[in-house]
Amino acid sequence: MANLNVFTEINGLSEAIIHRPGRELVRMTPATREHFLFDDLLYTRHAQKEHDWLTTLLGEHLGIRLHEFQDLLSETLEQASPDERATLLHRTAFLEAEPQPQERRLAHLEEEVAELRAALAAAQGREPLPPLSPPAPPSRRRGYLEEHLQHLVSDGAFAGLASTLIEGIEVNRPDYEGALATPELAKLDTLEDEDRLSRFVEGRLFHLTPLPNLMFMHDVATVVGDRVVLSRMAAWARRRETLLLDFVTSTHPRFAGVRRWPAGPRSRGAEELPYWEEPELQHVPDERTGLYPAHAAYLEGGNLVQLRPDLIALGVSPRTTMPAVQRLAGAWEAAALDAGRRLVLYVLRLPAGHNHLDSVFSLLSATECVLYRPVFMPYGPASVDVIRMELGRGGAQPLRRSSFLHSLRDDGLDLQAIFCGGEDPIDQQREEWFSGANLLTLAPGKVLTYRSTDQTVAALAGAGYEVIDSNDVLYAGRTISLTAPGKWVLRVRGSELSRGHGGPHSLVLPLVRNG
Amino acid sequence: MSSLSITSEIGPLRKILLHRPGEEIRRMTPGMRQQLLFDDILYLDLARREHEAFSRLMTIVAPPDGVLEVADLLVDILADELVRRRLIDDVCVLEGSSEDVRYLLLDQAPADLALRLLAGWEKPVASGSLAGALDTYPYTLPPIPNMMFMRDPAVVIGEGIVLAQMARPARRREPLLMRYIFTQHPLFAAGGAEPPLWFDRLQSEQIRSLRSTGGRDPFTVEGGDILVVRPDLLLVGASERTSNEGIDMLARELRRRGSPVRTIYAVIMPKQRSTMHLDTIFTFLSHDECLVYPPLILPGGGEQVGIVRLSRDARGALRAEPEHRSLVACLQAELGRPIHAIPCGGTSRLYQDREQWTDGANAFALRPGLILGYERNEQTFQALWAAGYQLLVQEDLIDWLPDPAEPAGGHWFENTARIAEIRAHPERKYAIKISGLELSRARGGPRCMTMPLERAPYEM
Repeated sequence: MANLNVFTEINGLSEAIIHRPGRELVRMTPATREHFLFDDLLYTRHAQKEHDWLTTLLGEHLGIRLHEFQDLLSETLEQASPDERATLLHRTAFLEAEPQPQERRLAHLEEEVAELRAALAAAQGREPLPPLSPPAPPSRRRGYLEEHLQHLVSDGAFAGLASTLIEGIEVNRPDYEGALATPELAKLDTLEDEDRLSRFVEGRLFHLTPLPNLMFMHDVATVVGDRVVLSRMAAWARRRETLLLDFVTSTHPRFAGVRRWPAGPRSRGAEELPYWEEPELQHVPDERTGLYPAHAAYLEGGNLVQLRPDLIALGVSPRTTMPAVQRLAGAWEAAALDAGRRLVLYVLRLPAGHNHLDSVFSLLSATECVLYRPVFMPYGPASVDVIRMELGRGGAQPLRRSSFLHSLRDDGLDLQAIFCGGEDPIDQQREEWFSGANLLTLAPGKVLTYRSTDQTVAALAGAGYEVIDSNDVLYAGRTISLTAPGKWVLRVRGSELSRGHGGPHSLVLPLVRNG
Repeated sequence: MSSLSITSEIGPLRKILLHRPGEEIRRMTPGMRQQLLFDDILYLDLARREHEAFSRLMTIVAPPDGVLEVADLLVDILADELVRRRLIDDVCVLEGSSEDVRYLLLDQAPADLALRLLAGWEKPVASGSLAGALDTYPYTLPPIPNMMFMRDPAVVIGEGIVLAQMARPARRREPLLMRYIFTQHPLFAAGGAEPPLWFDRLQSEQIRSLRSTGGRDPFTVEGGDILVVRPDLLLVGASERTSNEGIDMLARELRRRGSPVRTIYAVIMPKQRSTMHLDTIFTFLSHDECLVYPPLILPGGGEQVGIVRLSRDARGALRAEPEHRSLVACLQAELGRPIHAIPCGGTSRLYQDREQWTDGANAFALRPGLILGYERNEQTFQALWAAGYQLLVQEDLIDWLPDPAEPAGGHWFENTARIAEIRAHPERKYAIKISGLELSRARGGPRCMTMPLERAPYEM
């Protein structure tokens, strides 16, 4: 099988992972939507329709090979060794436990102390000292959850397990049937533990929380060159997403031999401490500011944009922090030194209110980009802080630049900017919100956007792009091709999908761009 | 003789006032959406298409000339120079606008002025001051995007009108525009016979005197909280938007100005956005059916609303007595027959919460047992089906057929045979699923979007 191969954002897309939203979207309520990072609820059936239209366009009409993430997960579960499965399920149950940052931190420190004491004892040739305190047994709730998931494995219900891991488990649903109705699940519902009363009064809804953001696959990982960067999600509600993708990319044969770029700290011999084990990440967001501690390493795929094989931009925001950027830059520098190449890295510190670089900037071709103008206007009241540095032998030190586009021009990438929302400031704000700057580039000059971004599409038309409505392709026999000459913008429906604040670029995780 | 007549929630519809979302929706920014009371911004093209379908469905029961557009009526009254000046003065006082804005508005022709009164005015790029240049507030005069929820700024009760006193500054201009329409437009004020204003805190002097309190008035009443059960009986929600003081004032004013209303059940609701008006948790479907959000309305729901009955004693003094029973029980006693409560979202709390949020309980009845609801509330339709409703999809009745040759062109298809069949069977129960991908974003459902002016009398 082809290895991973994504050296720019614009080369012809030929293979990608997507996820069709399922019951995880239904399981979001008005009261929990903010926890799940949504402003509004989605009408699931219509979101699925919109996603199906997108899949048909990419798969059937453009011949792009698409993997459905849930299928990949199910296949991986089936092919994994019992140990690998058990580890995944144990971690799932561990992540699901209520957040108790101090206790987790303490447990982590105690583990390290125990290791040091053992090492010390070995060095001194003495018997190891007894542990400081015996490890706490997992709660019964966590135990039953893990056993329920394990039960599905022993029944061979891998498809059901895959959907459970994505869709979560509702409390007190008498209609769980067949494979999903295990004795452990019944125990979870009737468990008489210490918080039984408060669970009833607070109306807690889940034994296992759903993952409604999973459809934005590009946030969870990015392929850089022939390796993958697994994201370290800042949002509590999204942490299991990386866990699942980690499992798939380390175990599924499609990813055999695929290496990783580390974005987290080294730890105890491992190149990257898995982020669910990092004690700093056990923090919950600050109640007042809603922000996570900035000294922890967070990275989301939406902040990584590859402009050219030797030119990468990383956005820094509450969702992507400097420790992760520093670590990635270190790994890239080492690789550049090895290969005797040089890599230009742009670090773009985004102004408040912008979490992802790909929500304000999209590369369309080697000569054009769409951007959200207020962020990229030099010396504007809310503009981005641009830092350029070179990695590799003789690389230049970090330096501030006033204009991203001017600096890119000096690097030989001369981009014509097309404004998201056109010229009108109000339209710009509205269409940035509708993901108008989050286009998916399928091949140079061949891009896809939501229909609700009228003014952006008009600006593209003004720049010579032919406007194609997806209905004409789906229902009126219009043909499109990635290899034919010409520029076009394909408008797809996204009334529901856009409400999760992700555009086409966020929905699709490219694995191979070699066209 | 007033041309207005509303004596029930369900009598066959004869005349109705709507507002098709317009430029005011496109002038709303993500940053301003919460101040303008939206959770999300709307894609105008689709919102307009959905609303046009909605207004076409009105004519299944109402005559075609019975569906009025508020922007048209506004243009009509602005043709009069005196009305135009007075309205501009009142708007400028209400909004605290500068003299510059007043002159800008005075310069506009009637059609442009109507547009500006709804869509507002953006701030010019160059400003006369540093504070102005750095201010991120985008408007000289803000838009009023909530105008599409015609239910709230004014309500017809019997033959008269209640002009709302809105709780939120973002909506205060709406009832003022309605006041001018109902007092100035020949359709309502022909021959000096203006319809009675049962409740009106928007006279020019009053707007000016409220300036000193920053426009805040403790006596707030919004239309979505008022349900006309019978000519003499109202339900009024004491909600996030309608105050207890407002309901007391409404009761006094209805009496003082000679309305036939004798009894009001005040429904004491939690003051929260998700249940901002009574009609977001309770609406009538037919003479013995209502659609309810179970947690707040049904016994054992966990958060039941309180009920206080407001009536007059033998000497005419106002009495407020707490009712220690559910809203449905009160109605059964008052109407003397069983009332069936159909649960919004069905039996699962998860779906009840989800579908109440997307206005599943906010049905609009075209006639008894012929109702409209958002298609997305699937479990609510399931519950209606179980209660004997035939489910219809909007596209089967009317549909927009785009013209492939012309980008924005197309025409409406109407399934006349199916519509004729519905008209011919008033005894049948139908629930029509309307599409509201964009409309539902604004936290308002089919009932919120309507202001019925006339319904055929119906014996409750």
